[in-house]
Amino acid sequence: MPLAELLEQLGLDKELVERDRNISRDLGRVYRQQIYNTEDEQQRFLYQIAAGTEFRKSGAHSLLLSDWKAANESFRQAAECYCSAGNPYGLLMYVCAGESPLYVNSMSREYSLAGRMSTRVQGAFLLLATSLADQNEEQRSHQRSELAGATHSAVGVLGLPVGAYLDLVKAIETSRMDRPDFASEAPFFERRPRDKSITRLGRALVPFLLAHSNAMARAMENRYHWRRLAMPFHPVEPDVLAVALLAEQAARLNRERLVEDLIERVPLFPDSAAVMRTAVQERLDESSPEPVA
Amino acid sequence: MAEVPLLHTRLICAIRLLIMIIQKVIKGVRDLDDAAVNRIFKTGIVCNWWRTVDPLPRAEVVERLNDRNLLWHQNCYDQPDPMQGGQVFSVNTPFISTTAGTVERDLVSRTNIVTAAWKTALSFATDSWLTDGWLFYCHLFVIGKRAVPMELFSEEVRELNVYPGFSPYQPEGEITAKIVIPTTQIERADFWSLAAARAAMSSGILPTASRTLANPNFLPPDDYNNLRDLLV
Repeated sequence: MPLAELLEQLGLDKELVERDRNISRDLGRVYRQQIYNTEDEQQRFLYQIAAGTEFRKSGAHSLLLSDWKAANESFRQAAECYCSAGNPYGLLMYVCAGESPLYVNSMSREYSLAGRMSTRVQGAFLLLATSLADQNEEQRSHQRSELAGATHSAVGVLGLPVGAYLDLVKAIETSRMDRPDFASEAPFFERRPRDKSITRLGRALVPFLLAHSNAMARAMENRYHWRRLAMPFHPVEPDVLAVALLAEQAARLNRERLVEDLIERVPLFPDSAAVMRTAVQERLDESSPEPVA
Repeated sequence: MAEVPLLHTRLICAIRLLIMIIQKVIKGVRDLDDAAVNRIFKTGIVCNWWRTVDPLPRAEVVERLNDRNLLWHQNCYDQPDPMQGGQVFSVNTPFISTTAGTVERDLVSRTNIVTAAWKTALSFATDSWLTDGWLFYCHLFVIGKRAVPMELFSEEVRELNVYPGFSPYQPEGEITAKIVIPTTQIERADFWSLAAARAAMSSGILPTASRTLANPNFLPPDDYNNLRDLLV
């Protein structure tokens, strides 16, 4: 069932979503235009983030409408705005836009994001978004060490700790390289039983799915705001979608399926499970289906 | 010696007064004509409770301004309230939602999401981009901490240091006023034509209000705050 057909089940009005999407898209374009009209660096930065915010929302609303073509365009525009501002969060927007891991990795270099982050914790987005393709182990190791003291810091819309992102980075890297866990590298007393890479991926993804599940359950209780989508958290939250897509792609490298299997086994809030399952399936299995009328 | 505690108390009061902030906010309202806006300029923006029960039973105000009702105002706005005989909570809320805009609750990255105050207010004022709407620009008093029973001070629901509990709606930038926003604190009302706003955006221009009504009763904060201006 396409996401657009879940709208009624979610208690959302398709026409309202469409109106709100169009406003965000148009406003994103206006803010983007302002970027070029100002000489003030701080003001330009704010316009970049404001445009990124609007395009991000427009992309997520388009997902709800199963309008993948519009979603891809909006997420790409969001990505460009965030990356231009030096924020690697933009790389997650490229993931939502369905760009390949190699492309996402190339964009991190194109925008020189590793050297432009305004706060260290943004490195979590950088490491995660490039985890499927970046092979510069020396630089990644340096970035990880930069984050070592910040593992409890909250990051992203759902406020998950940096450590959760690093766990997933490690799980994806391990899955990618299909190498034994610590067995051959760690001292004997640190060795643990080897997990299958799919198990590690699942364990690292669960906190994100649970956070989405909790946030959605709470948000839907507040029907007044929910119906109006008057919130920064989104039913198809791009932060979580990007993370789930990366984990699913890592699983598929080893010919496994992750998100759907995990959702079957973890008792999530049903609407959250339905949205995440459908969004990941639509994104990866049907790269750009036609909009649902 | 007896004067020390009094001095201490006065000092604390002075410090508290020093940290009082005059916060600019916007209140979005729909379905108003000019006459209704001018009436608001006379009465102030009153809470739904006052609109339901007029005259307002002043003796009940302090009972109604409590944490429980503030949480209901935030999270159960359109749900039946057993404390009000099953009436929908919003009908009798003593609070008034306004927005001041915000960056997201992300404590560290901070700048991934920026929510402009005018956009949040306009979304409500236009019934989610369906009709024209009015934005009232107001000044509220906040003190950087909870003061729910105190009618004078507004609650900074958006402020993580004051309200640290997670709310998926927090970054609406809500500042919650109580009972009434007095007319002296309402600067102006801007009328937003949705068609004009759409036309501006499609031309790559940031939309602005179509026209403005200034409130003749507004008292600029510079007239009553403690800033001493230069002698010229």
